Amino acid sequence: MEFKSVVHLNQYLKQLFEADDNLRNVIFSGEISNLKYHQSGHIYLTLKDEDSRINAVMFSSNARRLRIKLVDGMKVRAAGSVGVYDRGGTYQVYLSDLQQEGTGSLYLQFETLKKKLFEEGLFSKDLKKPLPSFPSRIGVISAPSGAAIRDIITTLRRRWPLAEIILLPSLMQGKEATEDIVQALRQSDTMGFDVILLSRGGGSIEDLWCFNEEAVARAIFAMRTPIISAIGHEIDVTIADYVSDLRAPTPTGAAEIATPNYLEVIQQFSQYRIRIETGFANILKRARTEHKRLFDSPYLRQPEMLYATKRMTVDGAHQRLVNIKQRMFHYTDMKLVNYNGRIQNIYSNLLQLRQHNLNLISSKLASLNPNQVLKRGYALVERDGIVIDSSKLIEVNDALDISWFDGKVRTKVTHKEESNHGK
Amino acid sequence: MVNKESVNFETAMKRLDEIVKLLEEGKVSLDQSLLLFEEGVKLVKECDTQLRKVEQKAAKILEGESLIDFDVKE
Repeated sequence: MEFKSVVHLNQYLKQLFEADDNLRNVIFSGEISNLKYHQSGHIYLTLKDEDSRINAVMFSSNARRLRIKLVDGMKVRAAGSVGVYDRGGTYQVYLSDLQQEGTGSLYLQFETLKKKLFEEGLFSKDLKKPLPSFPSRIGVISAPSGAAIRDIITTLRRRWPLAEIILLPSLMQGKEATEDIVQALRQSDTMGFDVILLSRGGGSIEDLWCFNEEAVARAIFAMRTPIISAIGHEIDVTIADYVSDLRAPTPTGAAEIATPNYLEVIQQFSQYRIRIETGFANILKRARTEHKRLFDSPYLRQPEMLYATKRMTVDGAHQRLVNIKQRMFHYTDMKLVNYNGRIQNIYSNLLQLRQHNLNLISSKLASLNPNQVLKRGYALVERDGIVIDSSKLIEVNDALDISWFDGKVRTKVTHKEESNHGK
Repeated sequence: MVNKESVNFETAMKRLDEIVKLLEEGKVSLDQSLLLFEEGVKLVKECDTQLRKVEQKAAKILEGESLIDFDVKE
C-alpha cells in the first residue's frame, strides 16, 4: 500500500488503533519513571517493567481527580486507552486513572529504610550538631570534576575567604560510590574540619541512589564534625539529607549556610567600634558634667570663701587695733611696735590656715585617683580582667594579673590562707 | 592539624556584646568604663586586622596522603 506522505501513514495507524476495541480500555501494571508534572496540569510519564516500557500521559482533567502524589519508582495499576500521537509517530497510553499497587522496589526500599532509621532516632533534631559561625577549615566531599564543587568553592571564597578549603574527592554515583563516600566521610572526620559539606549535582533517582544507602546514612550519623548535605536538586531529598545536621537545597546553598558573609562581619565589627566609642563618650560626658558641678562649687572656685568670715573678723580686729593705735598714738613707740608685731603674727597664722585647707582639698582629690593609690605601693589584682577584691574569690592555680603603677605581671596562685582579719 | 587562629571571632563577638551592653547601660564606674573601652577597641582592632589580612588560599584536594592545590575550572 502506498501513502502520499508521513502524515497519511500515521493517520492510517491512528485509525487502526481507534478501531480496536481492545485498546480502548486497557488495564495493566507498571512502575513509574521519567515522571513530569507539566505546568499545564498534564502529567507525562513512562510506565515500565523489567522488560519493556510505554509512554503515557494523563491530561489535566483526569490528573485533577488523582488522589495520590506520583513519584518515580512507584508501582501502579494503570487504566486508559492506547492511541497514536500522529505528529510524533508514536503510540502512548492516555491514562484515565492510576492507583498505587504495592510500591516500586526503589521507592519501597527508600520508605522502609527511612522508617527504620527514623524509628532508631537517626533523624532526631536533638542530635543535630550546631554549625560553627566562623569556620576556619572546611572539608568538601564531592566529585572533583562536578559542577557542585565549582559552585561550592566559588561561593565559599566569595563569602568567607578566611577559610581553608579541602576537597576529599569521591565517586558520587554508581555501585562503588557507596563505599567511597563512607570512606571519605570517615576520613574527613579525623581532619579537624569545623564543618563538612557533602554534595553532588542533580541526577536520576538511580544516580542519587548511593545517598539512600544505609551504610552512608550510618557513616553520616557517626560523624563528630557538623555536616551539611546538598544532594541533587531541591526536590530530591535523600536519606543522607535526613541524617545530616543540615540539608541545603543546592551546592551553592550549602556553601552559603556554612559561612558568614565576609563583608557583613567586617561591618559588624565596625558597628561594635562605633557603639563602644559612643557608649564611652557618653559616660565621659556625664563624668565631666559631674566634675564641672563639683568644680563650680563656691569653695573650690573661691577658696578664700573658706576663710572669708575669719578674715572679716580679723579685719574688724585690725580696724579696732588701728583705732586703738590712733587713740594711743601719743603712747610710746615701743608700745606701737609691740602691737604691730602681734598683728603680723595673726596674719601669718591666717595664711597658714588657708594653705592647710587647700592642701587638704587637693590631697583628697589626689587620693581618688587610682594611680596614686598604686603609687603608694598598692597593687591591683585581676583575674580574666575582673578585679579581685577578696581572697575568697581566689582558688589555688588561678592565674592572676597584678598591676602596679608602672607595670603588670601574671602570676599563678600556689598557696592560699584564710585571713582572720578580713571581715 | 587544627588551624591556629590568633583571634576567635565567636569569643570576641560574645565579649564585645558584653562590653557594649555595659557601656551603653552606663552603670559602670569611670575607671571601669575606661578599661572596658580600651579592651573593646583592642578586640575590634584585632578582629579587624585578622579579617583584613586575608590572603586568598588555593583550595586543596586530598590525594592519597597529601594535599595538592586544586583549581576550579571557572
